[in-house]
Amino acid sequence: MAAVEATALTKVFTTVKRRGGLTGAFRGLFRPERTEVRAVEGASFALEPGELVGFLGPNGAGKTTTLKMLAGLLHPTSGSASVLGFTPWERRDDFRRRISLVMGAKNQLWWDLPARDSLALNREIYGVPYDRWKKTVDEMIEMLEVGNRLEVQVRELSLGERMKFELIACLLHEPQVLFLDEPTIGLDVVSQQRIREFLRDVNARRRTTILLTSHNMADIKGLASRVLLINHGRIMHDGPLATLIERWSGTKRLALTASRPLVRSELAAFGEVLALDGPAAVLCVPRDRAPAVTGEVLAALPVLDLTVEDPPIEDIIAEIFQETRPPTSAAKAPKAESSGGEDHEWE
Amino acid sequence: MIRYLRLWRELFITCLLREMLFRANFIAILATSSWWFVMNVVMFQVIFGHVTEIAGWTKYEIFFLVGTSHATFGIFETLFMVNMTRIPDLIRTGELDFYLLKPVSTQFLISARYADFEAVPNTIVGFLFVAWCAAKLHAVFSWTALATFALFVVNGVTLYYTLLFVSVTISFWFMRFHAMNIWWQLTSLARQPAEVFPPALRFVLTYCLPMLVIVNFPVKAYLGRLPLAAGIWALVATGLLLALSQVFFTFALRRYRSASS
Amino acid sequence: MGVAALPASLVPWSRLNRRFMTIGLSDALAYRGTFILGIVFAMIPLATSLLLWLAIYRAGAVGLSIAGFDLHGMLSYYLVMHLLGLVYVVEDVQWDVTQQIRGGTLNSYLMRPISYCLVQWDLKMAAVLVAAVIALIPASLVVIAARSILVLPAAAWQWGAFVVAVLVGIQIAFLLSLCIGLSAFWFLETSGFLMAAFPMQMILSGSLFPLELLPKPVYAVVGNLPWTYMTYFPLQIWLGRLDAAAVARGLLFQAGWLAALLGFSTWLWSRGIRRYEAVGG
Repeated sequence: MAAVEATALTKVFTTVKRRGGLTGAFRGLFRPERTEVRAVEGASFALEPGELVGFLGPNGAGKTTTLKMLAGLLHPTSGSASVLGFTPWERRDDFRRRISLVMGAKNQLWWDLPARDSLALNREIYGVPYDRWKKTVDEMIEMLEVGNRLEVQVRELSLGERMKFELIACLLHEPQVLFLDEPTIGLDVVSQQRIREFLRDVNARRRTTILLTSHNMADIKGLASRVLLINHGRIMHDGPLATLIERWSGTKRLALTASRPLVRSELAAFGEVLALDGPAAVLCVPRDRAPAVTGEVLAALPVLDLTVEDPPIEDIIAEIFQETRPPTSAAKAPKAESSGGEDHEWE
Repeated sequence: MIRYLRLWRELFITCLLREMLFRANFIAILATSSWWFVMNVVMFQVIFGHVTEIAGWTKYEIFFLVGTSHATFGIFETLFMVNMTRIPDLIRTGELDFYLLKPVSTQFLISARYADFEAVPNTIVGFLFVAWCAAKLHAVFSWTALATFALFVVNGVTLYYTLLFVSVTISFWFMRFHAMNIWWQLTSLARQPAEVFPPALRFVLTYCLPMLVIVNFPVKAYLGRLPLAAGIWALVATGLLLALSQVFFTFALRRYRSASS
Repeated sequence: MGVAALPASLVPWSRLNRRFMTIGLSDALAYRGTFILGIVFAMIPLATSLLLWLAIYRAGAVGLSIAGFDLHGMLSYYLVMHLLGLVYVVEDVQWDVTQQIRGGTLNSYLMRPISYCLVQWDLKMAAVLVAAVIALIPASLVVIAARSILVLPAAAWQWGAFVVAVLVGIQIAFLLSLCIGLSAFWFLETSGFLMAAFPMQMILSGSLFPLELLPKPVYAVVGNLPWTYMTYFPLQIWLGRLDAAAVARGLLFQAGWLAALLGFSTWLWSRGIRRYEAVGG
C-alpha cells in the first residue's frame, strides 16, 4: 500500500478583494468583489513507504497547499487523499501521531524559553516515553551539532540553529511520514548541508517517507530520487530527475578546451556560443544533434578536452515554468491572503 | 482525561517559567489590577450610606456578589483569557497549523496554551473578600454550602469559557471579528444582582443567554436562595454548550485556509 | 478642529496629514462589522448601569439625592458619558505605539520624512471623526427615548463651554494614551501594564461612577488630575453643576493640562527615540 496517495486533489480559494483608497473602502462596504483562485487542480500521485520525493514549482504553484491538505490542515474542495490509510483532514490522533509537517518559514518553539522546554512540551503532547524521547533527541542533537545550545533561549539562537531545533521538535515522535516545506530557506551553505545529511539519514535509517518542497535545487538534487513538478496547480511531471531533464530540455552543452585561443566565428557554425574565454568555450546544441556535432568539432578543431553535459537544472526548470503558462491569461497568484498593505493590524 | 490534566500542568509550568522572565511588569500589574474592584466596593459603600438594600440585596450580600464576580472572572482570566484573545490571530496568521498537527484535541490546546498569572491575585483578593463578607453576614458555615458555592463557581467559569469560545470561533468567517471586546461588555450583565433586571429580561439572562448563571448562581447557592431546578438547569446547560462548542469548532475548521507563510 | 493639539514644532498641516487621515478613515470603514457591533454591544453596560441606579433610587426615599445627583441627574450622567465614550476613540494609540516600538515597525516610520506622533494623531482624529458621525444615530435615539428624564444644558454658554471642553478633552485623552504608549521605549513588556492601566483611566475619568461620589479628600486629589478633564469636566458643565466662574476656572485648568501633556509627550518622544536609536531598536 502506498504511504501517501492523492487522487484528483483540488483546492479552490475564494477571496474578497479589498480595494485601496477611500472610495474603494466605501465600495467594499456594499458590494464586495469575490475572486476564485484555483490553487491545486486535480493533483494525483502516490509515494511508496520509505520514498523521498521532491516537490518542485514556482511560488504560488500549489505546493504548500498540497502539502497542507496531505497534512490535514486544509479540506480539499474535491478529490481524495490517503496518508498511511487515514484521510488527513479527519485529523485523527493516531494519524497526527504518525506524521509531521515542517514549515521552514515558521517556528513553533517558545520564543522566550530554551529549546529544551519546547521539546519537553512536545514529548508530553505526543505522549513519548521519557527514555525513548531522550534517546531520539540526543541522537538528533548530535547529528545536527547543536548539543551545547539546548539551554539557550530560542530568541538568542541563530536562524540555522532555530531550524535545527524545529526539525527535532517535529521529529521527536518519529513520524512515519514527513512533509517538509522549504526546510533550508534562508540558511547558510554549511547549515543546509548539515540538514540535508540529517534528512538523508532519517529517510534511510528510520525508513521515513518524505515529501519535500524547496526552491533550493541543491536540496532536490542531493535528496530526491524522484520529483513531482507542479505549476498552476497541475502536476506537470512525475519521475526521476533525469527523465525530467530528458523530457523538458531540448539542448545539451558542449564544453571544450583547445590547444590554441578560439575565435567566435569558427565556433558559430556548430551551435550557439554560450561562453568563450581564450582556448575554452561552451556551446549549446540541440539534444538530438549532440553526437554528430561532437564528431564535427573534434574533426575541425585542435581539441584537448571535451565534455557533453545537461544544462543546469535551474535553467531547465525556469524554462519549463515559462513554457507552461495556463491557457487563459488571467494568472493570479494563488494565495489565500490578499490583504491590502496595512501595517497597523493591532486592536 | 488524565493525559489532558498532565498536559495542562505541563503548559502551566511552561507559562510560569516564561512569566518569571518579566518580573517588573508583573509587579506593576499587581499594584494596579485590583483598582476596579476596590472602586466598585467604594461605590457601593457610598450608596449604602443612603439606602439599606438594593433590589432585595443587603450591603454585605452585594459585597459578596462583587467579590465572587471578581474571583470568578479572575479564574477565567488566569486560565483562558489570553488564549481566547489569541485565537483570531492564530487563524489569521496561520499559526493554527501547529496546533492542528498535534495529536491532541485542538480545542483543548488552543484554549489552554497560555496561562495568565497576573489574574491570580484578583482571584485571591476576591475570595478573601467573599470570606470576610460571609463572616459579616453571620451565615452558618457548612461544608455543603461551601461545596455548592465552589461547584457553581467552576460551572460559571466553564459556562463563560464555552460562550466565549463559540463566539471566538466565528473568527473563521470574520477574521477581524474581535469577540473579546463584546464579551467584556457582556460581563457587566453577570456582575449585577439578578433582581435589578425586569423579570422578562431575568428569564432571558438565565435561560437563553445565561449570564446570570455565572456569578449570581454561586452566591445564591451559598445563601441558600437557589431553587434546585434552576441549579440543575445551570449544570445541564453548561454540559450541553460545551458539547455544542466542540461540534461548532469542528465545523468551523473546514473553513480554515491556513494563511501562507 | 483642535489644531492646537499638534505636537508643536513638527510638520505643518499638509496634504500628507490628510492622506494619513484618509487611511484612518478607510481602515475604520473596512472593518465596519466590528465597528457597528461594538456600538451595539457597548449599550449593554450602559443599560445595566441604568437598571442598577433605578433599583438604587427605588430603594431610597422619594427625591433621594446622592452626592448632589437626583435620579434624573444620575441617569443623564450615564447616558451622556456613554455618548462621549463613543466619540473618545483615541485609546488605541497606546496599543499601536507599543506594538510598533516593540515589533520594530517604528523603523519604517523613522525612515520616512514624517513625524511619527503627528501621523498617529491624524489616524486617531480620523477615527474620532467617523465615530462622531456614527454616534449621531445612538445620540438621537437616546434624546428621543429618554427625553422625559434627560437633563440638558440650560443656557447657550453652557452648550458652547461643553463643546470646547469636549474638544480639548479628546486631545487630553489622546496625549495621555500617547504618553503611556511611549513608555514602551523603556519597558520591554508593557502589554500587561497597559491592560491594568486601562480600567484605572476609566475610573479616573468617571466612567464607572461620578467622581464626586468619592470621599471628599480623595476627590480633592482626583478632581484635579488630567483624567478628570477628559470627560468628567465636560459632563459637569452639561449637567449644570458648575457656575460660570467654575467653568472658566475649569477651562483654564484644562488648557494647563493640555500644555503640560504636550510638553511631556514631546519630551518623552525625544528621550525615547534617542534611547531607541542607541539600543538599535
